[in-house]
Formats: sequence, C-alpha cells, structure tokens
Amino acid sequence: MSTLVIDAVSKNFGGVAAVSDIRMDVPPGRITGLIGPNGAGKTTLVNLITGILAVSGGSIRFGEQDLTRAPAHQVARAGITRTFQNIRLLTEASVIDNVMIGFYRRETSSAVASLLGLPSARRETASLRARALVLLERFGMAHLAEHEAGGLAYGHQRRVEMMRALASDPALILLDEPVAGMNDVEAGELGEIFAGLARAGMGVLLIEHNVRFVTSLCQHIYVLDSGRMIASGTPTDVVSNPAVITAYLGA
Amino acid sequence: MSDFIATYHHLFNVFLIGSGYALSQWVVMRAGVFSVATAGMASIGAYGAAILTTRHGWPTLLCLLAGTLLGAVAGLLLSWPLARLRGVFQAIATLAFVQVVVALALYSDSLTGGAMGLNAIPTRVGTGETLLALVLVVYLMTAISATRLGRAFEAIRQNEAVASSLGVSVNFHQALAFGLSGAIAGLFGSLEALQSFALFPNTFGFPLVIAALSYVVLGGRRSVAGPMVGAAILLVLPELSRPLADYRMALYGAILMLVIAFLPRGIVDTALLALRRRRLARSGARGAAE
Repeated sequence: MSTLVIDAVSKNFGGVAAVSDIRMDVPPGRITGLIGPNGAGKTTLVNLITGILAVSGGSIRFGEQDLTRAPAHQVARAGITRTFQNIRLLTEASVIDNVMIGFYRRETSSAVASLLGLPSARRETASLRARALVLLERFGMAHLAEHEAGGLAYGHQRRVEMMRALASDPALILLDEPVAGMNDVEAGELGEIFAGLARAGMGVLLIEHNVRFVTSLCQHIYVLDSGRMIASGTPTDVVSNPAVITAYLGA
Repeated sequence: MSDFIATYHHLFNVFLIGSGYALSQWVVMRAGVFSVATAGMASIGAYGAAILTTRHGWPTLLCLLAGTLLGAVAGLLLSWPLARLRGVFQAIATLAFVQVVVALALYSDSLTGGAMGLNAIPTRVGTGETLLALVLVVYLMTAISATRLGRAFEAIRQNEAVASSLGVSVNFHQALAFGLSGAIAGLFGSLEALQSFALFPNTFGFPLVIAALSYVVLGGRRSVAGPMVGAAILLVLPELSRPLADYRMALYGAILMLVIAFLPRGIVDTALLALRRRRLARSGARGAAE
C-alpha cells in the first residue's frame, strides 16, 4: 500500500495564491482529515491531487509514482478515486450503470474486443453487472438498480457516488464533504463505512467542514486556512490550537 | 407498377445511405463530441473511392476500403487539434472543416472535376452492398453500446469530470469516436459515389450537415435505432408530397425546433424511456403489494 505525499504544493490563479506551500501525508489504513473554513482551498487541493488542476509548484507522489503532472485519468489509474462535493452522477443512466462505470479502471477488454462485440468483452460486462448488484445489495439499493440516477433522493445519490468510488477498488479515496446535508444519524452510518475502509487498508482523505464529524473519525488532521496549512496533529491538539480557533471563530 | 418499385427502390437506397451518415453523426455525439464533420469526411471518402475507380480502375471492394480508411484518417487527424474544444466551439470548428473540404473539391479541378463535378462514375454497388454495410455498422455500434467502450462513451457524454476521475481517458475515447465517425462517413460516402453517376462538391455541404444532425436529434442520441428512425422519417416525409420536397430544408428546420422543444431525447429514446418507466412502476407496485 502506498502513501500519498504532498510536498510544498502551491497553486496560483493569475496573481492570487489559492494554496501555497502545502505539505501533507495520507498514509494507507487510516482516515486523515482535512478541515478549514469556506474558501480555505480544500477543494482546490483535491483538484490538484486528482489532476483536474495543474500545480504551480511542488510535487505530488503516490508511493513510487510521481503524479505531479499526471492528468486526471492517470491519477485514477494509479489508484486514487474521489467523490465530489456537489454529487456528480451520470443522471440519465440507471443506478447500476452508474456503479458499473466505477469498475472501468480494472477492466481488461481491449477497445477492439469491445468494438467487435467479442464474447470476452460481453462476458466481462456480464460479470461486472453481477458484481455491481452485490455492491447495490450491500448498500441496500438493489431494488433501485434500474432507476434513473438523476431521479433519486439526495441520500440515495450520495450512496450511488460512494458505490461507484468503491467499485473502482482504490488504494486511496478522497472524500470531498461526503456528509454535507446529512443528519447526524446518516453521517454516522457513512462514518462507519469509512472506518471500515481504513481498517481494510485503504487510505482515506476526508475533507470536511463539520469539525465534530472529522474529530470523531480521524487519527490525524490537517487544518487549512486562506490557502495555508495552519495546523496539523491529533484531533485533541488541533481543536485546542489557538490558530485553529481563530480561523473558525474569527479574531 | 414498375415506376412504383423504381421510385421506392431508389428511396430505400437513399434511406440506407442516410442511415449510414446518421450513425456517423451519432457515434461522435455518443462520446460527447459536438462534431458536424460527417459531411466533410463523407466527401473525402466519396471522392477517394470515385477517383480510384474511374482513374485507376481499382476493384470495388478496395475502393470501399480506401474510402473508409480515408474517412477514418480524416477523423483522427481532426480530433487532434479539436481535443481542446468543447460544445459549440467544436461544432463551429468542424463546420469550418466541412466548408474547407467543399472549397478544396471546388478548386482542385484536375482531381475532383471542380464545380462541373466528377462524372461518368461507373455504378459498382447497389442495394445489396449498401444494406450489408449498414448491417455491419449497426452490429459494431450495438456491440460498442453493450460493452466497455459504450460505458466509457456514455460516461464522457454525461459528465467528463466523473469519467476522468474514474480513469477514463477523454482524449483517447473522443479521438476514437472521431475515427469511427470518419470511417462510417467514408464508407457510406464511397457507397454513394459508386452508385451515383456524378459527384458534386455541394452534395457534401451544409445541407448534409443539417440532415445528419436532424436524423440524430429527431430519432434519439442513445439507442442505435434512433438515428435510423430519424433518417427514415425525414427522408420519406418529403416523398409523400411534392410541396414538402420543395421545402425540404425548411421542413427539417421546423421539425428540429419542435423536437428540441417537446421531445429533447428524440423519438426512440423517449419511447424507450416511457417503456422502462412503465415497467419499473409496475414492478414497484407489485413489490408494494407483496
């Protein structure tokens, strides 16, 4: 299992520094938290890691691989999957099709086999469909398999996004505000799932606003404010850090 | 009676070729590319096949393959500079490509016959060959839809950020879609060339751009049957009455506006969706009763 190492990463939009000199590690088998007030640069950092934005400086490594300049699809192939702050589903596709696209990274049929409709490509499709159904059952959504994803309730859409991320079988998962808009009970249920993933050896980076949720789940927390890392450490250290209190409550 | 058969036989050939262009248009849109390059790539395939058969006496099958290959290469080359563009910018750039091809065909007199057209092309193919080509293309497109490529295309079309965050290379698949679209356009361009006596640059101009686009929008963008149903309706309608034929482009325009406003998914996809919803509602009601 690999550790994600972010070293002195910065990003400027024109003359504005969105994030600067960020250093952090996300090791496997643990939930690492990233918190910060609105506009602190959390999502910018996720976009830099996942290759949606190009870094202005610094480096990003995942185990042996240098992902500093890798485009989004290569980051995904290296084993890093993300969920989105505002849920992004294939709204016209069915729930099961949404989950199936998650398997893409692990698929082996070639473009030619797919174009010619060879039996190997069709068999793979059938086996992925069966595996997607297993995942749907685990999340209690098998009865919605053929429904259009865009028409689902909010909580169900969140679950579809989670299943899709899990289908890609990542070594590291980036969760961008996964419990936004959920009540404590729903958030607690998802928290259990995240903890289970970490126990199974996956690296988890949890980006959140909700300090209580993060401190209850994470062993290590980084705090971002105005594009700078202002604190890092265990939950108890971080919440008692004066700089963090100032950032959250105002001076 | 023989008039009747001759008329409808011709119409059937027109439908087969129109369906080919429609599928060429469909496959790029399937991968989220708003290209209208089909007309230009069909022109390249058509002129290629016609020139090879009239001037160089190539056998029919080789001419068709060469036309297909020329279309595919044109599509792949086009995908390269256009990879950075999205949506309406792709449409404008590919429309410019179509105009460039029309202009080249007009001005390179010695090769294409210019505005006078390329004449006396021997008739080498008929309904049988065209039907066979369409069946082949329909099979390939159905295979794509049922396997990995189709899932990648569909993900890119609906949300590029999601697709790339799961490891789907947008550039690779869009280039592939351009290449496939070019190959299909080149194949049906060659088939059209080898069954019409003459080729003119404007056969593959703006009207064909609008026609191919209309087939897909009217029929539907997801199912393979969609573009063919669209082509059938739009090609048969003008034949039902003469006045409609005189205002063909006006008719296409009006239908396009109505369909976009009231049936944005197109006829076939709307019907399939309605069927699916009814089935789900019924199984849901059964589930509730149990």
